[in-house]
Amino acid sequence: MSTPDAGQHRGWCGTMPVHHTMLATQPEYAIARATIENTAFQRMTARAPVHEEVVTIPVVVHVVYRAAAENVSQEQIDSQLTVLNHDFRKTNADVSKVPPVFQPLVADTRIEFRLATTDPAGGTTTGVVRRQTTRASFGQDDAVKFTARGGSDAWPADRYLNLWVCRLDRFLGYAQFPGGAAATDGVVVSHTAFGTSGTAAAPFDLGRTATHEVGHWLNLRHIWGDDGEGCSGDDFVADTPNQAGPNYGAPTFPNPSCGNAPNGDLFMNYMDYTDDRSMYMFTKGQAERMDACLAGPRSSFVPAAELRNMRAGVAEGDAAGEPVRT
Amino acid sequence: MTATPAQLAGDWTHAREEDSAGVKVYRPAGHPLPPARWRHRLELRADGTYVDHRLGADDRSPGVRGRWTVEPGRGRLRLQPDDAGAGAVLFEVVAAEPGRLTLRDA
Repeated sequence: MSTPDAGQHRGWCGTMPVHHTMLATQPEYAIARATIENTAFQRMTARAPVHEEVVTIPVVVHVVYRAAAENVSQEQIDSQLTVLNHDFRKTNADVSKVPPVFQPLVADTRIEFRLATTDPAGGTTTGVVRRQTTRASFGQDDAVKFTARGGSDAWPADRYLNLWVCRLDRFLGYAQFPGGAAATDGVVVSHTAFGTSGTAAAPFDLGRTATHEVGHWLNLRHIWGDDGEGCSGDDFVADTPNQAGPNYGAPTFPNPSCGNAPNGDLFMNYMDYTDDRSMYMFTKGQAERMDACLAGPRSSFVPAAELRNMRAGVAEGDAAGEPVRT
Repeated sequence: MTATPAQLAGDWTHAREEDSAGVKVYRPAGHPLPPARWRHRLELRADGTYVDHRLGADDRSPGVRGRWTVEPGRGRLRLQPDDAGAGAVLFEVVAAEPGRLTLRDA
């Protein structure tokens, strides 16, 4: 990272991370985020128990389309759910490509996803909401998450993972960390980077954009630490190497930065920015961080007995104030 | 080179595929670029304001706003954020051609 010189910075790497700016300007969000991070840290230091049973997250896919091609098929939706389940359970075929030195880090997160079968009113559902819009495309302003703005309203965020699919300008996807507003909670993925068939286009046609975004939804940070190209950022995960900026494309191993030679960056991690074919693992440390999220702000998705197990031995109040569901 | 504000004004997107050692190549809005998880975008507006679309932790690009100038004599691009607590960002303008802007960290 560059050192400021008389109030000036050379290039971008010395500037204040955007995330920090957001925290500074949104006090309620900052408080929620601080509580969640404290919980995660306390669980890590207390060596809190990981969840043993598989936690299954009900998903509602909001398909918001104008052109017929953007109205992605059920097959394409199913292909995305399949990828999520393979990636989070370490059953993806390409996990074998993890370099031997990193293989001990690879995690089965024991988190699965299925399309919702019950809607918020208790009726049966396919877990897919299709809504035609007059908007040519959507940006990063959350409009796709509101029917009144040409999108589709979120289902209750404590019962469903909302996944919006639409035509996105300039982005492949974006997410919302736990602790934000329920009306916008979920992930957004471009129809061109969704699933493995239909409108999914190379090099983002293996469904990894959703894997990455759901990682954020479960409180994972970018593996380079969100400090531009510097070496002082942190993803708050102990077993990921320090890394400069994002990796793009399809790097070859090893790809060192920030003094992390000889093994180099963990560019094959889902929380980097490589092409879909070049990312194929979560680490055990990331799985523990997602566990902390499930024990805290996303605890409504965890069965009560499992939640009690996860909180065993962790001090009262470490669960971000979330009640145990009965 | 000594660039003029008129040469630099525009809505520029990083075409990292065209980068070479130490320099970053930017293309104007509308220039066809391959899809990417993220590209840096820098709007240098004719009225002297700018929006620096940074990479957010949630994959969005919150904009940092401020005023941009070309330093007299040295020809460096200076981005001064509106946030008084934030330092300026400086770039050497390697080349400013129609449809292509090349920068290097100053």
